[in-house]
Amino acid sequence: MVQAELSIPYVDFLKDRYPDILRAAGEHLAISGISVAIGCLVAIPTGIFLARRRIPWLQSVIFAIANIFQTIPSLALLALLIPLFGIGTKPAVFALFLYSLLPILRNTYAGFQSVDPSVLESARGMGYSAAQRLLQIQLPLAFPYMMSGIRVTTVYVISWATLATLIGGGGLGDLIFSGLGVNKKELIFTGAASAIILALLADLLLGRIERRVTRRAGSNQEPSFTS
Amino acid sequence: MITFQGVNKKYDDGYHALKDLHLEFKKGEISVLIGPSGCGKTTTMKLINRLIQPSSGKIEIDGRDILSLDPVELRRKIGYVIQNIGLFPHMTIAKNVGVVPRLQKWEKSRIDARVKELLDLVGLPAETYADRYPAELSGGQQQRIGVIRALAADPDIILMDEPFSALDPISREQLQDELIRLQQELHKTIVFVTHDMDEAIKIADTIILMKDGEVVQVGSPEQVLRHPANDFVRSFIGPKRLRQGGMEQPTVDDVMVDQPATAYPTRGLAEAIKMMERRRVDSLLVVDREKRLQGTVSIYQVLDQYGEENKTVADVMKPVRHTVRSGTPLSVALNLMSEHHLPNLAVTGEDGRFLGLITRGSVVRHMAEVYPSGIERDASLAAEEAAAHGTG
Amino acid sequence: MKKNAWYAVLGLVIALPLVLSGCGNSGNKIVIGAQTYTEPKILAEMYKALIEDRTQVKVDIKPDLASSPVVIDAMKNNDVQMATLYTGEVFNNHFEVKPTKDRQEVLKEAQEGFDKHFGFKWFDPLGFENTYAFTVRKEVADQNHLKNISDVKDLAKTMKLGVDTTWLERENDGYPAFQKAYGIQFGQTFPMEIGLVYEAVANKKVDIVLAYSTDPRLKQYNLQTLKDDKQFFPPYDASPVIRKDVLEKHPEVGEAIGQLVGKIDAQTMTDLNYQVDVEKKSEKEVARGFLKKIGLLE
Repeated sequence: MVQAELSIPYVDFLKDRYPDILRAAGEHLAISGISVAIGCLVAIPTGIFLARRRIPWLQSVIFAIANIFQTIPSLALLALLIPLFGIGTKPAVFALFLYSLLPILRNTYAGFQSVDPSVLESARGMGYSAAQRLLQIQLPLAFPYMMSGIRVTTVYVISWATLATLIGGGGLGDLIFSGLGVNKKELIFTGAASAIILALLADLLLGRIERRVTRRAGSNQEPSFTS
Repeated sequence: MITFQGVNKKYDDGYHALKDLHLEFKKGEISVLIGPSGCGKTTTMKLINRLIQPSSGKIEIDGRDILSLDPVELRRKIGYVIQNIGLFPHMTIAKNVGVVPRLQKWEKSRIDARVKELLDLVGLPAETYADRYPAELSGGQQQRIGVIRALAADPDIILMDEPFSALDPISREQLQDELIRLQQELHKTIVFVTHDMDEAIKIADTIILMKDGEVVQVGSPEQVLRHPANDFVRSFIGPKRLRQGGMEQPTVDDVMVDQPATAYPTRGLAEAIKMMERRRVDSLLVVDREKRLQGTVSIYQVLDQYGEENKTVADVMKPVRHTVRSGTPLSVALNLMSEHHLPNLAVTGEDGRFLGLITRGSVVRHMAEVYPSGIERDASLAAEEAAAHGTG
Repeated sequence: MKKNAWYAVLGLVIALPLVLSGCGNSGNKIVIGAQTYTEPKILAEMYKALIEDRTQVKVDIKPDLASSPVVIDAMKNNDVQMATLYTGEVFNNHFEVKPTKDRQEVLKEAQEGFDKHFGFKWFDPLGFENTYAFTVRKEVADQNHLKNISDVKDLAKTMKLGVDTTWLERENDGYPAFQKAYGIQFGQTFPMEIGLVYEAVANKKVDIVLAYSTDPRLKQYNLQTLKDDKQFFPPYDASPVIRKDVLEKHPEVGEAIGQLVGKIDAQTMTDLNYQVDVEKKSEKEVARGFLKKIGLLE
C-alpha cells in the first residue's frame, strides 16, 4: 500500500530534499522553542505570584484569560494577530506563546500549592528569609509539577506550529501544506512525521532534565499530568 | 531570660488574643504554656521568635528588646519545633538536621560532625539514617529529627509547639522521656506549648496556665497541683490528678464499690441465694439497719445449711475479721488483702458504719481509669498479686 | 398477531435511519466541493441555485478544501460529486500530459484526461481565466518601471516574495521551473494562505506576491500585475467538473449547469469576487443576484 509505493522512491526523495526538510525542521524548532521559553518567562512567575498571594478574584481572571487563549482555534488566533504583527514568524511565535501559557501556569500554581504548609512554617520559624524559602524549599518541591507542565506545553506547541506556514511563518507546515496542494504524499508524510519526531525528542530531552534535577533535589513526589 | 512586659496582641477583626501579659521564662528551664484552645499559649510562644508581632508591650531576651533585632537572624538563634514536624521532604535527614548551621554559614566539616553527634544523641545512628529521606521514617523518628534539627545550631532557647501531640501514645511517651534526658545534659531554655496536662506535669519545671489571653497561674507542677489558684485551675487539672498530686496515692474510698450486695441478718437462706443470683455474686455482706457490718456469708455456707428452713443469714454468717477505715491508702489495703488472701475488703467509717467494699474487679477498673502509665507501678503490681491470690 | 406486529415496527424503526443515512448520495442529493478562496465558492452557489431551481436534486456545498488536488481526491472518493477546476490543473501530477501552453490544447488535455482516468466530465469553460499573476505595489512598479516579469530580474535578490502554500512545490508552473524559465531568484520566499498575500504586499510586509488574477483585492489595494512576457504560466480556464455517473443518473443536472458555459468573463468574475471579499456580501446572495441579472433565475 502506501509503504510499498513509497519505499525506494522515498529514500530518493529524502536524499533529494533533505536540505529543505532540515531547514523546515530547524525553523519549526526555533518557533516552538522560543514560544515555550517566553511562555515560561511569563507563566512561571505569574503562577508563583498567584500561589503565594492568594487573591481569589485575580486568580480567576488570570486563569480565565489563559484558558481563552487555549480555546481559540489556532487558525483564528493566527489570523487575529496579523494586523498587529503582520505575517511571518512574529505572529506565529506570539500565538504559540499565548497557547503555552495555561498548562505552565496551572502546573506552576499546583506545584506551589502542593508544598506542605507545615514545611513552610517550620522553614520560616527556623530563620529562612522569604527569598530563601522560595529558592530552597518551594521551587525544588514544585519543580516536578512545573516540569511536567512544560513538557506537555512543548508537545502541544510543536504540533500547533505546523499551522505557522499559513501566515508565512515557515516550519514543517511548509512541507505538509505544499504536499497537500500539489498532491505529493511523501511531502505530507515527511512533514507530519518530522513534527512527531521533534515532539518525541523534545519530550525525551525534557524528561531527562526533569529526572536529573529531581534526583539532585531528592524529591519523592510523583508529578501529575494535567492536560 | 525571656521576659514579657505588658504584652498585648489584638487582631484586625478586633479579637484581643493576649491581654497585658507579664511573664518570665527562666533560663535553663522547661516552661510549659498550657490552657484550653484559644487561650493564647501558641500566640505567646510565637511572639518570642517574632512569627507574630505584638500590638503593644515589650519582649526581651537577655535584656535585649527583640523588636530591635532582625527577625530572620533572631529565628536562626532560636530552635523551633512544630506539631506537624515539617521536615523538608526533598532533603536527606542529614541535610535537614544541618539546615540552620548552613544558614549560619558554618564550615561543612563542622556541620557534618555536628549532625553525626546529634543523630547519635537520639539513637538514630548516622550510618543508617543520614542519607534517608523523611518519608522513610516513622512519625516518632521524624519528630526526633525535628527536635535535633532545632538543637543543631546550639541555640540557647528552644520553642516547641505541641511537638508530640500528633504522635501515637507510645512515641509520645518516649519522646517526652528523651526530652527530659536531653535537658539534663543540655540545660536549654525551653518554652513548650501543650494542651495535655499529664504531659505538662511530667516535663515542666514551671507550668504557666492561661485562659482567654491571660495568665491564671504560674508555678511548679507540685505547687499548681497542691495549691490551685481558682476553680478554673482546679477543673482544668481534674480531680483525680489533684488527688494524685496532693497525696501520693489514692485511698480506698477512690476504689471501693459503695453499693455492694448486702443482706440483713434476718434474711432467710432462700432469700440469700436469690439475692446472690440477682447480683451475680458468690457472697453477701451482712449489714444491719444501722449500717453496721455484722459479717459475711458465702454461697457455700448457705448451701451447707440449706435444709434448715428456719435458719437465717445471721446463723450461718462468718464474722468479718479485717476491715479498713476510710481514707486508708489503697496500697495498704491491697497489701492487707494479699497477706490474708482476702477476695475483698470492707471499708468502714469512723463510727464503724459500713461504707463500701474493695473487690478485685473494682481495683482493676480504677487502674484502667486513672493511671495512664506505670506511675503507680507498685499499686498495680500489688493489685495483680491480690487478684492472683484471691482466686478460689 | 400482536407480537409480530411489534417486532415489525421495531425492525422498521431500527432499519429506517440506517437506510436513510447509509447512502449519502444515492438519494437525490449531490455535494459540491470548493477550494479555500471566494471564487469557487460563489460558483458553487450558482450551481446549487440552478440545480435546485430546475431539477429535483438537492445540493450541499463543502467549502474550504485545501487545494484543487484535494478537491479532485474528494471527487475520486465520491465525497463530493462536483467542483470548479482550472485547466492548468492537468500539470499537477494527475496523469501524463503533453507539455503545451496552448489554451485550446490544454483544455482538450483536461477534458480527455479527466474523462479517461477518473470518469469526470469537464464542461466547456465558463468564460474566464484565473491565473497566477506577479503583483507589486503601484508605486513600486512606477518607480522601477516594472511592466513585465522580466523587468524584476535585477531587483529580485532584494525582494521578499509572498506565495500560496503550493507554488514553491508545483512542478510545471512552480518556483523551480520559473527560475529556469526566467532566470530570476528572489531573496526570501514566504508561503502562506493565499488570502493573505494581498494585504501582505499592500502593507509592505513583502515586496512582491504571486496573486490570483481575478482577485478583487488587486484593485482594492491599488496593486499592479506584471505581464508574463515569457508565457511561463499555463492557461487556467475555469469550468464546472462533475462525475459522469451522477450525470447519467441526473442528466437534467448537466442541462442546468450547461446554462453557465461562456456566460462569465474575467471582469464579471472579479466584480463578483469583489462583492464578497470587499463588500462582505454572502456568496449565496452574490451568486443568486448574478443569475437573476442574466435571467437564469427568477
